[in-house]
Amino acid sequence: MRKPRIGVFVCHCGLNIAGTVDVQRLADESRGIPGVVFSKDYIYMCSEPGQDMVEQTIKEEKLDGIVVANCSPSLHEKTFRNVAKRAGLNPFKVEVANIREQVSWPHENEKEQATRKALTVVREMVRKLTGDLELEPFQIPVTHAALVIGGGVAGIQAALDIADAGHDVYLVERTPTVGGNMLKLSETFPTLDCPQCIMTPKMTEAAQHPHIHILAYSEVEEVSGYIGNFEVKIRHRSPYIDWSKCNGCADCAEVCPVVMKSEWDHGMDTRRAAYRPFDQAVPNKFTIDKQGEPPCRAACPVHLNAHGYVTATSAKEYGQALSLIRNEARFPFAGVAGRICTHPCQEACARKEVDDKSVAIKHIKRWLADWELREKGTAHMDVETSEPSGQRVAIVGAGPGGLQAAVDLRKNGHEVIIFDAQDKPGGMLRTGIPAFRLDKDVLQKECELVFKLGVEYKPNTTIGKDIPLKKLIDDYDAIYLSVGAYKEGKMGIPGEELDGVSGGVQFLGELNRGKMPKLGKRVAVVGGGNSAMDTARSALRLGSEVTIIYRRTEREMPAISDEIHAAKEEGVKFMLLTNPAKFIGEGGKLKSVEVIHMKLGEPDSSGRRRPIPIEGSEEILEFDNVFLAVGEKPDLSFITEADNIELTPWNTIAVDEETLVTSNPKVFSGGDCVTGPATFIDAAGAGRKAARSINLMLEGLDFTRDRANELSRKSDLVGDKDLAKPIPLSPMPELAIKDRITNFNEVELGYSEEDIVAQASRCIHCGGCSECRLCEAVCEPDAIVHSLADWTEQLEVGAIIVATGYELMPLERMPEYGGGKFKHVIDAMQFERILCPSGPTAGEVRRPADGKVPKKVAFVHCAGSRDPEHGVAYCSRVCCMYLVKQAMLYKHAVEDGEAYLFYIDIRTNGKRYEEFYARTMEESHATFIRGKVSRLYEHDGKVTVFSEDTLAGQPIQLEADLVVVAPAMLPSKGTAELASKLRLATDEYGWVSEAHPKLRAIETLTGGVFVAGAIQFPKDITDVVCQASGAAGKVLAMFSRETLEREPLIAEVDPDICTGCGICEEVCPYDASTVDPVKKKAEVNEALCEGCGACAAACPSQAMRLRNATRTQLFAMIEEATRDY
Amino acid sequence: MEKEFDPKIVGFFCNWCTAAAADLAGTSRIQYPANVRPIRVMCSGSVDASYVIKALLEGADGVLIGGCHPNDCHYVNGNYKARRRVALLKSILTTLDLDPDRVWLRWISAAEGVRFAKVVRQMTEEIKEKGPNPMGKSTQT
Repeated sequence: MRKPRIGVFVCHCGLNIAGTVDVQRLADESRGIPGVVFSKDYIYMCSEPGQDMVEQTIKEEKLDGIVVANCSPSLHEKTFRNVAKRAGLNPFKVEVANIREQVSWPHENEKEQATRKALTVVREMVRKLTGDLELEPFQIPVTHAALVIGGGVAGIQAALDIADAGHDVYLVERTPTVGGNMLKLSETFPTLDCPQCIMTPKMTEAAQHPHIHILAYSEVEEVSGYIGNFEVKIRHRSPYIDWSKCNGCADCAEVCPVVMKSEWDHGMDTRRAAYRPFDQAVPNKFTIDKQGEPPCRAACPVHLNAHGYVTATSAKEYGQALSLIRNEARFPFAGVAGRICTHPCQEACARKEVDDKSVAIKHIKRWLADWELREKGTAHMDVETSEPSGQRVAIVGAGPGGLQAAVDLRKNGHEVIIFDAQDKPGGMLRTGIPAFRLDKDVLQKECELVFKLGVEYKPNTTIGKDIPLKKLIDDYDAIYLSVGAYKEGKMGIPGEELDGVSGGVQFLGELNRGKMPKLGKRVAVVGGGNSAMDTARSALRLGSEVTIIYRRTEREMPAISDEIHAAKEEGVKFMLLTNPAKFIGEGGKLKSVEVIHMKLGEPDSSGRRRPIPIEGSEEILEFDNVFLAVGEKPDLSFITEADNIELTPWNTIAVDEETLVTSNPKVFSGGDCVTGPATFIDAAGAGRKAARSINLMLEGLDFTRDRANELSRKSDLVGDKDLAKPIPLSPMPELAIKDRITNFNEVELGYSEEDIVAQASRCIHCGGCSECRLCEAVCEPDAIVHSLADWTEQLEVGAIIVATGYELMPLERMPEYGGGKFKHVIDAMQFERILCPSGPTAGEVRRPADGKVPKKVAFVHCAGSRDPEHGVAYCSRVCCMYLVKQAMLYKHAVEDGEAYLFYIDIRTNGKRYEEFYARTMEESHATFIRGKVSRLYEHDGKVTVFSEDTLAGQPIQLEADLVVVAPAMLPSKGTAELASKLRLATDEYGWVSEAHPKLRAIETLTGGVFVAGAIQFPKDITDVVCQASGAAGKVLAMFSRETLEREPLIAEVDPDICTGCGICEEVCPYDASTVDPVKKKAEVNEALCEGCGACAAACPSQAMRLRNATRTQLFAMIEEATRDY
Repeated sequence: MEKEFDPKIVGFFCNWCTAAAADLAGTSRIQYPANVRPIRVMCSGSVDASYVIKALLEGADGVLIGGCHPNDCHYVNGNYKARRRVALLKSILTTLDLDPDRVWLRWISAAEGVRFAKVVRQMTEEIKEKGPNPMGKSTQT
C-alpha cells in the first residue's frame, strides 16, 4: 500500500483559536504524526486566500487527504470538501478537527491543556482520514409526481403550483370536500375578501386541472420508500354512493330522514345522513355518513334493522319500513314480534340516555304489520330463492326457530321440509301464548309466509313416534332440531298427582286449541315467569280468583315487567316469598295447599337471591286448582343412541355455541331444546344461526370460522342527543280492564298513524345512516350502493407535502368558559359561520341557541393559548386579528351592538394589520379591554364575563348576550399517526417539525417530505399560501432533475462475513437493511440508508460497517483519544 | 510532589444533539475542563460496546456517551438502542468486577450547551475522585 500523504491545515480564526491554542506548535507537532507530510497554519483558512492556499498545496504536495483544524464541521466541512474537489482530491478525503467550538472557546484559560487537546483532536482526525475511502455520491431516480396531504388552502395552492409545472399531483383530503378551514370563514382580514369568492375558483381549478387528482374522503394508510421514490397506499372511505355515477342532484338528501349535525356549520345547523358538506363542494358529490351498527340493530338476535324501519316509519314510508323487516332481513314475524318480542333492541336503545325511555321499536313493528293487513288484506314477504341446490334439509319443530331457519335455508335454494308434532305451525307461539297477547290470525298469516317460499310443512308428525330420527339423518343432507321445551317441570312435593294440580303450559295449550277447561273458584299459579303470568291472566278470564305464588320477590321474577303489571292491573293476587310445601287432597281431588313462607339469602348461581324457608311459617290455604308454571324442559326421548347426538347433564341437546352443530356433524340444534325455556326472538336467532352453518356446510365451506358474537353483538354508538325531538314515549292504547277480563281479545290496541310517526321520530340515529334505503328509490342514476366497501389505491410519488392544518381546542377543555355547556358561549369558528352569508343564519348575526340578535358581544382572546395550564404555551398567532375582524363585521351587521374584546396583548404583525386594528377601534368603536377573562357564568339568557382591566387596575364584570371565545389552535386530528407513517418528528404540541426552525422551515427531517401551512405551526392565510408555494418550489426543484444525489456515507455489508442472521434488519429504523432470502446475506438499500450506524453496532460478526466510520477507524481514534499528553 | 490526577475521558457524541450541544457550549464561551476528548459519531446508537471497552483498555478513566433525548433521536430510536446497550455493558462490567460508573450515558440536546458543560464538569470531578482506571495501560507498567 502506498504511504499516505496527508496535509494538516491549522486555522487561527483570528484570535478565536490562536488566542488560546498555540497554533504554531500545533502545526509543528502535527508534522510528526505518521502519514502527515505537510502542515501549515494560517489566519483565516476559510477565506478566499486560505482556500486557495489549501487548493494549491493539495496539488503541489500531491496530498491524498487533508485535515483542516478549524471550527465545527457543521460550518466548513462542506467548504473544504469543495476545495478538495477543485484540487482534484476526492471530497471524502477531507476531515475537520473541531478546535474552536470544542477546544479554544471552552478552555480559554487553560492554554496548555487546550493546545494538547487540539493536538489530540488533530491526531484523531488524521487516523480517521487514513482509513477513509474515496467515495462518490450515488444517483437515485425521481418519480415526477407528488402527493399533497390535506385539501385546505395550503394543499390546493401547493397542488396547483406543482400541477401548473406539468407534474401529476394527488391531493388527498379526509373529508368529502376540499376547501378546509378557510372556506368556512366569513371574510378575511385585513382586506375583507370573502373566502368563498377567492377560494372556490381555486377549488374548481384544482378539480378541473388535468394534472390534479383529488382523492376526497380518503386517507393515507401506509407510506414506504424514500425521497424520489415513495409508495403510498391510500384508503378511500366508502361514500356508499358510486361517485362515478353521482350527478350531485341532492335527491338522496331530500328523502333522507336521518338528521345529523352539520360539521360545515360547526353543529349550528343540520344536514342529512346523505349529504354534501355545502353546495359548492368539490368534488360535487354526495356521501352517506355511516359510523357503524347502531345498538338496536346489534342487539337483535336476528339483526333486524330496527334503526332502518323506525326511520322509514318516521318518513311515513311504511311499505319500505316493512320491506326492511320481511324482505331485507327475511323475517316473517313482524306482527308476532311486534306483539310479544322481549325486544333486546329497546333495552339497547340509546334514546334512553335522553329521556329515560327507549324508542317504542316493538310497537312500531306491530303497527307496520297491522298497517299491511289493514291496507293490503294480507301479509307479504318477497325473498328471492336461489336456483335449486339439489340438497334437502329436514327441520323438526315449527316454532319460530324452525320457521326462521326454513326461510334462510330456502333462500339458498335448498329443499326444506318441516316436521311438526302439532296440527298448526307456530310452536309455543301458538300453544303457550294466550290470544289476548297474540292474535292467532296474525301468527297463522306470518307462518304461511314461510310456506309460500316453497317450504313443505308436515303437521301432526312426531319424530321418534311416526318417523325415527335416524331415518331423517339418513335421508337428508342436514337436520335442524328445534323441538322446544314442552315437558313441564314438577316441584317434587307430595300431592302433585292430585286431580286439580296441573301444568300451566298444558292449560294454555288447551285454551289455544279452543277448549275452555272448567276451573274452580280459587286458582293458584305457582311460578314467576311469563308462563305463570299468562296462566294466571287466562284463568282470571275464565272467571276464577287467581293467586300467583312465588318464592322470591317481584324483583326476582323472570317475567317481563309489562306482563306482571298487566296481571296485577287485572286483579291477579300476588303471594310473594311463599312456596307450596304439600298439596292436600280429599278423595284424589285437590282441596288445599300447604305453603311455607320464605326469606331471601345470598345470591345463587343465577345472580338472584336464594329463597330460604322460614321454619314454622307453614300455612294451609284453600284452592280448587293449582297450575304449576315452574319451568319447562325439552322432551328428548326421540333421540336414540344410534343418532349419535350427545345431551348435556341438564338433559338438553349439546351443541357448539358458535355454530349450533351437535355431536353428529349433520345435525344442528337450537332454541329451547338447547337453552331451556327462553324467548321467541332467541329461538328465531338460533334458527338463523343454524341456517347459516347449514348453508355454509352444504356449499362445502368451513362454517366454523369467524362465528363469534354472531347472535348478539354490542354497539356503544350514541346518536346526537342535542337533536333528540322532545316527544315523550306515549303509552300503548289498551282495552279497559273491565273489557278485558271476560274474554280473550287482544289487550293492546295499537297506535294511530299520527302517534306512530311521532314515536318513530324519537330515534336519535346512532351511527348516522339507518340504511332505510329510501335514497335508493329516488336516485335516478342508480348511484347508491349501500354495500360499497372501503377500497385502497397504490400511488407512486417522488415527493410528499403535508398540509393537514389545524383545529380549535374544544371548549370542553375549558371549564372556566363553560366547558361547552353554555348555550350563549360559542367558539370563533362558529361565529365565523354566523357572520358568513352561507352560514346557518345566512349572515344575520343571531344567537344559535335562540335566534335573538345579540346586542352586546364579548370576545375572549387567548382561550387556551399562551396558557401552559391548558398545555399550550404558544401564541396561536391569528386570533387577535380574526377577533378584531369579527368585532368589525359584527358592528357592521348590528349597528347598535356593542363589542368588547378582552385581550392580553394585541398582536397585529402583518401587512396592513395594525391599520385594520386601528380602524376597528376608531371607526367601528369596538371596546378593547386589556385583561384575561378569568371565568364566564351563564344565567337568564346572559353571560357574565369576569375579567380585569389591567390598565385601569380594577376588576370588571360585563353582562354579554353572546360570548365568542378564540380557542388555541391545535394540530388537526390524526397528525400523530400521519407523522409516524411519514417518519416525521413532531414537537411537544404535536406540530410537525421542520428540518431547521430558521433556514429549513419547509423541509422536514425525512428527505422528500415537505410541510406547508398550519400543520407546522399556526399561521395566517398569507403565510400558509407562501409556505405552500415554497413547498411546491422545493418539490419542483427536485422534479427538475431526473436523478438525485445522495451522500455515500452509509452502511455496507461484507458478504464474505455476513451470516444472514437478520439482526441488522431488526435494528434498522428505515427498513434499509434486509436479508436476501436466497443468498442469506444482508443487503443495504442505498437509497433508504440514512447512515446512522445502528446496524454496524449491532452486527455480531462485524460484517456490517458504516463507510468511513468503521471499527478500525474508531479504534484508531480511540487510541489517539486515550494517548497521554 | 505527586502530580494531581488529570483524568482522560473519551466522549462519544452524537452528531445531531450532543456534538451540537458541545458546539453551542463553545459558542456561548461556557468554560469546562479539557479532560474530555471528543469523538463525533453519527448516533449514540452506533456506539459499539467494543468502543467503550477499547477506550477503557487503552487507559481512559471514563467514557461519556451523549445522545439525543428520548423521542428526539434523529434516527428514530438510536438513543434507545444506546440505552439498552449501555445498560447491558454496565452489567457486564459489574460482573467483571469493574466499575460501571466510569461509563456515563447522558441525553444532551442541541440546545443544551449549559447542560453539556455541567455534565463534563460533574463527570471530571467524579472520575477524579475515583482515581485512575486500574485496567488502564498507564498502571500496567
